[in-house]
Amino acid sequence: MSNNETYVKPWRHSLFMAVVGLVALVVLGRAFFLQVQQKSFLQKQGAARQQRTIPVVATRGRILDRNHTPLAVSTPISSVWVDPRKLRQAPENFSKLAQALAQTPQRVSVAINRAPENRGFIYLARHVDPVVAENVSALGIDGVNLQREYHRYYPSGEVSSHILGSTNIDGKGIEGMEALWNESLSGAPGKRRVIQDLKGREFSEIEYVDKERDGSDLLLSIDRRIQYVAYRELKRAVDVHSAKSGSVVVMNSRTGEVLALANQPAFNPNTSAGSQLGSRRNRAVTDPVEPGSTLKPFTIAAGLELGVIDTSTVIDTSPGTYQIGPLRVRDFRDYGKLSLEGILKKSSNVGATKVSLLSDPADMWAVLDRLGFGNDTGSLFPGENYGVLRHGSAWRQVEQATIAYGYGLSATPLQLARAYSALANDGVMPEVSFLKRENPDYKGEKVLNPQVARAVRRMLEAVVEPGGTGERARVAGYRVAGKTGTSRKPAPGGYREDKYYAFFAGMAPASKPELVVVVMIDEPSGEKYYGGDVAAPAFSAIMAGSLRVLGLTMDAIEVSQHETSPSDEEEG
Amino acid sequence: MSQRFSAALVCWLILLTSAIAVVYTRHQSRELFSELRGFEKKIDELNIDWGQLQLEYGTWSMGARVDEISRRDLKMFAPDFHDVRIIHQ
Repeated sequence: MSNNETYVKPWRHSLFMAVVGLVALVVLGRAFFLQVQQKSFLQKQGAARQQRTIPVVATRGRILDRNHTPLAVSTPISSVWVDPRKLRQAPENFSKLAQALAQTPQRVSVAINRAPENRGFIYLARHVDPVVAENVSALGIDGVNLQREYHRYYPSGEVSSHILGSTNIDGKGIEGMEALWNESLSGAPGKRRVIQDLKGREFSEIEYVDKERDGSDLLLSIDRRIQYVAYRELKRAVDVHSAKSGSVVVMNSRTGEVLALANQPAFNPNTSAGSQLGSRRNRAVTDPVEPGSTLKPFTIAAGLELGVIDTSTVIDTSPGTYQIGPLRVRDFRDYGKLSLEGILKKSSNVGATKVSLLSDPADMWAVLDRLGFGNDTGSLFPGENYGVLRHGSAWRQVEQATIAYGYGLSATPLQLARAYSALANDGVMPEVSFLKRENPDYKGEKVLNPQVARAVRRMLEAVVEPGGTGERARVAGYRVAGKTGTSRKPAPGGYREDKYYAFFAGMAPASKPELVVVVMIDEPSGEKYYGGDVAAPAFSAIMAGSLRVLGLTMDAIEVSQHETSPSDEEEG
Repeated sequence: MSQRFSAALVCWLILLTSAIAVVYTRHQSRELFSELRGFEKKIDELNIDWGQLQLEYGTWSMGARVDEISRRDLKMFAPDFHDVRIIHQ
C-alpha cells in the first residue's frame, strides 16, 4: 500500500470484461430478436398506433345543360358521427350535443344507447348546416367527429327534375340521368395514409395509397331556357284543365337531342320528403299510352310508302261510320269524300281505317316498326318503356283498323316525338339522345321516302289551318305542321267513356323543321278534353317559346310584310 | 487480405450512403407530399367556392326569375310577329 499503484487481481479484470461482454450480448440478442424475429409484427403495431388509412370521397361531377349552365352541383357538407363507446362513458355531454344539433336529448341518447356494444361508428346527423357543424366541432367532445360528405343541389328544382333524377344520401344516383351515368359522375374514391395523434386526430398526411378520381361533368342535350318554357306551359295546361298528369317533349328533329322534357306532377329533387305520389315518374319515357289520332299521319305515310295510295287519292268516308266485323268505326260526323289532307285535317277515323286496310298487315307493320313503335328509342333512359306494337303477322283486320287511328298499340310521348322527327327530317329518323351530341353532323337512319315525309308534312300543315282540328296550335310568324289526338283511356274490358288523353304532336318551322314538340295531357277533367282544345294551346306556347329561344327564322311572314317602304327604313 | 478489407469497406460506405439517401428521400417525399396536399386543399377550397358560385348563378338565372323581372320590372315583352322584320343577307 506504500506505492500509488493499486494492485488489481487479474481475475477481476476478466470478470469485468465478461460482465460487460454479457450485457452487450444480451442487448445484441434482444436487438436481434426485435429487429429480425419480430420486425413485421412490431412495425404493424407501431403503424397501427400512429398511422391510419382513411378513405377520401371523390367529388361528384356536375350535370350541365347544353350551354354549360349547371343543373346539378355537389358541394361539401358535414355529417356528424360519433363513437358510442366513448360517449356512453360521458352521458352528461348528451344535452350539450343535442343542443348543438338542434335535436332533443332523448333522441341523441336513444341513438347512442341503441347502438351495439362494440360498434365504434354511428351517424348522429347527416348533411348538417355549416353553422351546426361549427357548433358541434366547437364543443370538443371526445368521440364526436365531423365527416366531409357531398350534398347534391339542383338549382332548377322541380323544372328539370325528371330528366336529372336524384341521388340518395350516399351520393349514388338512383333515378334519371344521375342513375344512368352514375359511374362516370361519381369518379372513384381514394385512400390516404395519415399520421394521427393520441386522440385520433389526423395530424399529418404521409402519402396516397390510392389517389381519388373526381367524377366527370355530364353535358346534357337539355336547353335550360326551353326546359323552363316547357315546364311552365305544361303546368299551366294541367292546372287549367284539372288534369291528372301531363308530359311534354321538345326534340331537335335532326339530331334527336331532347331539348326539354317535363312531366306533371313533378317533384323537387332538393328535398326527399313530401313529394306527391307518382310525381317522381318520368311519364314521357316510362308510360306508354295509346296515341289515338296522332298516329294517323303514319297510317297515311305507310300507305304512300307502300304505294297503295298516292297524294291525289280520295277516300269516301260516308256515312261517317264503317263496320268491320264487330267493330264500328265512327267519325265525329259524315265528312263525305276526303283527300288524304282532308282525312288528317278532320281527323277522320273512317278515312284512316280505309287507307290502312288497303295494305298488307305485315307491310304496314314493317313501316310502323321502322318508325320506332314498340322499339327502343336509343335514349338509354332508366326504366324506359318501349310500348307495344304486335307483329303484323298477328294482326286481325279489326286490329289493323284500330291501329290506323291509334288504338291497339301504345307508345310513349318520347317515341311519338321520335317518329314525328322522321316526318320533320325528310324521312330520316334520329336516335334519341339526352346528351349533347359531340358530332354536329349526326344523321339518323332513313325510314321513309323523303317525298313521302314531305307530302305528309304538307298535309299536317293543313291541320292547323282554319277549319282544322289543330287550329289552336298555330304559332305567329311560323309555319306549323302537326296533329291532334284524343284517345279514350283504357278500362278493364274496354274503354272509359269519360276519361281521355289529349295530344298534340307537331313540328316547326314547317318549311324546314328543326323542332318536334309532343304534348300529352292525361285526363283533362274540365269542360274540354279534345287534343285540339287542351294540348294544342300548350303546344303553341311551348313551340313559340322554343323557336324564340333558338332564334329560328320566321317562315310565315308574307314577303309584303318584310319588304320595307322608304319611309320605314328611316326608323331607327 | 487488405484488398478484401478495402472492398468490404467500400461496400459498407456505399451501404451507408444509400441508407442515408433513403432516409433523405423519404423525408423529402413527405415534405413534398405535404406541400402537394397544401395545394390540393387550396384547389379544394377554390372548388367549393366555384361550386357555390355555380349554384348561385344557377339560382339567380332561373327561368322563372328572369321571366318575372323582365316582364314586371323591366317592362319587357315578346315582340308581336307583325313588328318583326327579317333581313336576308
